[in-house]
Amino acid sequence: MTIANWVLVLILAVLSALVVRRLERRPEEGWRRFFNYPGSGIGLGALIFVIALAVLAPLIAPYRPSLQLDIVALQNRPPSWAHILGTDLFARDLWSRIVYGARISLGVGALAALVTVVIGAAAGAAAGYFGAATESVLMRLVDIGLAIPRIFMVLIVIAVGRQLGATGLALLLGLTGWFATARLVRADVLVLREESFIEAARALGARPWRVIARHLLPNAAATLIVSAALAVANMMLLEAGLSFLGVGVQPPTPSWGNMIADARDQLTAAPWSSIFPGLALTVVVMALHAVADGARDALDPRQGQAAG
Amino acid sequence: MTLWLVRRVLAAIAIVFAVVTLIFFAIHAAPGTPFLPGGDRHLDPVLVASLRARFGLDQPLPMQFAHYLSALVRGDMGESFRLQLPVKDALAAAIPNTVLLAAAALTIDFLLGIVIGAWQAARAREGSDAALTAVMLFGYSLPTFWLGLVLLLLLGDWIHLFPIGGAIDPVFHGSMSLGGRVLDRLRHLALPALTLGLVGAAGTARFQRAAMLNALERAFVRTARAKGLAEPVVLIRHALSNALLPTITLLGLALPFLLTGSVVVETVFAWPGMGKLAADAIASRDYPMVMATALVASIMVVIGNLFADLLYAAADPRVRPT
Repeated sequence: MTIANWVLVLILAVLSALVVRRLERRPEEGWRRFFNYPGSGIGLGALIFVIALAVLAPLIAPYRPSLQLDIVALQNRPPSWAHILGTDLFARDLWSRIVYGARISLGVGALAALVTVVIGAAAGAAAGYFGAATESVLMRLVDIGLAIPRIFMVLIVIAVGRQLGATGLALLLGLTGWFATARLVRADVLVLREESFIEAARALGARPWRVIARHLLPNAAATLIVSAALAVANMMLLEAGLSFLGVGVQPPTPSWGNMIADARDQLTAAPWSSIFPGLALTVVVMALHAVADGARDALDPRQGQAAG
Repeated sequence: MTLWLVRRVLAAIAIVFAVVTLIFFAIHAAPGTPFLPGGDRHLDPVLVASLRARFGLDQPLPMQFAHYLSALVRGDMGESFRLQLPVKDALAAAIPNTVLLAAAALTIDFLLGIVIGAWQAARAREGSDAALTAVMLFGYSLPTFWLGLVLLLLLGDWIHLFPIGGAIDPVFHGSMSLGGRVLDRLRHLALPALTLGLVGAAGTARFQRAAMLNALERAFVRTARAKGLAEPVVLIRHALSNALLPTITLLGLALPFLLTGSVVVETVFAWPGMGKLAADAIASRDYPMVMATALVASIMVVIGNLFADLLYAAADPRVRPT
């Protein structure tokens, strides 16, 4: 799962570069707006902390994630000083598994979100910019895509396909998740394409995809960044749900979803082994939502209502 | 209005048709299609040919599609591999349970969400608003299945307030009085409905707060206050009734969330609905069942969206097309 790990780092770098670049136009203003939103500073801090855990997992986790310690003495032990989050049914250290699980959960979420945002941006921009048949075809596709609830769409593919690895799962989630993003980007582009700077670019002879990539999408950055943050959150939740059903990331590779699934039979005997992974997931999703809200305020003052 | 309605219904039918087509091709793409040459067991080619003819697999794809459609119209969705009975029968037993669960969850979702959101907006920028905003943020960040497990542990196992799974008491339900049976069902319904309803309510509250804040800034609210109306009247009769309009669109969005959530939540609580059917089917790669549940879920979403549009048009004359 090293690929997803690298993708994770890459996406975060690109994303933060985008945000920083965008904010630099109005440096104090942008950051002030971002941190003005209650919780987005805390959210960003929490997110950076969890990402650091994921990237530095081998240094932080006291044990390897699938290492079975003393099966007699350390099965289903509650949190203690030696094992701060306790141990699970197989006498594995829960803290180590959560730290390594962050790699998988965040990695799958980030890769899936990347795929979704790239396809969504391309499809939405093409539909909005070219109009006519391109728009009809793409938007009807979006209508169909939004009509099938996500989990069922993924289940259809899993039912007829074979068991996917973590990377395959992330790609599948990304390929089936771009419909809503496309709709949002199209709405942005429909407004932007009437602007005179687009006309100017066209008059200078820029090709359509250049206009889209250099002029339209950068101005839809607010929508893209916010949907990317929300997409990571949604993908992580979906991955967890699928892993819970047994068709997501397969054990012994720890993902927060399959950890909850594994611990489900031990719910009363060892509640901590299902509670902590779920709590970790909730915290990250919450942090992503808070960052998305802050980013929305900072990047797009016109919609700056979230802070009230 | 009529023309708009007809077009809207036709569009809905077109989407359902497209979903059906998609699912038909997905079934075709499935590996391990029976009676293909080159499988792991060697079969007599004559036998293979006769089997393929018997199940219509030798016909051209358009013909097979036509057969599939005509079977579907009659409600025939094939046979479940796992349950060894027609998919139609299994769905007929499960769908009412899912509809019941979804209706209960929606009620909790909207009642709680609207009240909290409106209350927050009325006290915007006060401490209680900020605190509730944080709680709601936590609420809609919760993975539904995990919240289900936590509620199961707290309310089902530790304080025994609710039964921990199933739709009815397996032993005593038959011998209960009518009132007892209704109560028994409600007690079983409580935890799964709460799980889905609470997460949904957190999202609805957030949306409702924004809509209500928007309404409170409008001129008619100022007019109402200037007339000297009591603040509760201004808030409820003037602001809230207008702020409810955008919330109607949430109704259409709530269904995909509920159906996706039902797959995991029904599994947690062993609720015998369509979501559990889908989850069990995927575990055994019972793809006729997976396809059928996906189809029914999509039809529900399309109908839900249509319904939300109609409701919106009925409630707000400004968006009503002529």
